[in-house]
Amino acid sequence: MREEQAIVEVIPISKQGEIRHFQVKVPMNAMEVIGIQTGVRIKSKAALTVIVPRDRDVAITPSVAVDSPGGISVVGELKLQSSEKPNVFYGTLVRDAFEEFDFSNPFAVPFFPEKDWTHGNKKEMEKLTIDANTTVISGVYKDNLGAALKRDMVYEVFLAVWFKIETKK
Amino acid sequence: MTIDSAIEILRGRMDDLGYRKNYYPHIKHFVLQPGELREVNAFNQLWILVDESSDFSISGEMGVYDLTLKNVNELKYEFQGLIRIKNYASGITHLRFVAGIPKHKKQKQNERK
Repeated sequence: MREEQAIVEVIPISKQGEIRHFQVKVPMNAMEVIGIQTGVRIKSKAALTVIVPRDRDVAITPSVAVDSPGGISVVGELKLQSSEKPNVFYGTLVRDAFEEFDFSNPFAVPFFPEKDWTHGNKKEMEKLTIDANTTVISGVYKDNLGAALKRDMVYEVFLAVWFKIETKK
Repeated sequence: MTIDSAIEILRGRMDDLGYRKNYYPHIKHFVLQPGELREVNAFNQLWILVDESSDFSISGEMGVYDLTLKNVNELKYEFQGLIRIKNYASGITHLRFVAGIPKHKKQKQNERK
């Protein structure tokens, strides 16, 4: 019997131009890599400065985030390598599809309620067929966002590797 | 790393990648001028770094070797694709690799005969 299984890896980035190596463990019964899915969650956006004037009791929150990516959609570059014959089999530019919208501020989206395919809740995987005859998949992620803005940006890159696995009946 | 251990690693890696003995092991010894940036096309090849020093930086398809970097969680000794070598030193720097260059199909067939 054949089933599909996804292994999710979270890559935390906190330094400007950071290069982070990681490994994705391949299940023993995996036959093929059938898809790759990437996503990003920028944490620096939520780092708002709160100004409290002396003559007021209520804090004023600025509408623009201090560490806003500012129109840079490509946050980094991701590459995956098998230890066996496929070698370097995947490379992509990781994008923040919602960089124009500040979803960290709940007041900005009162008329845009969350649904299945909005707010990055659901995404489609990129289909591919690669032999999964390897113990681990080595990966490297290189930051572009922090390098472009010339400051440390804190965010997480999500990588989901989909496998076709063989299970016993 | 010694040249012997680099050759041993190269042998294992080329075997994993499916080349078995169908590759030429080459020792590459670069002489880099002060501040020189050299680019090497090593597509379809595998290079193992032998020398270790903070005088140079090497970047390849799957990582970098640069002892001066603080934003990397791992350094690589194995390079492929477009390899960029930068000499940071104010003098000439010597740098050695062991490279595995796959043979063409014709050469493989001739060996079988």
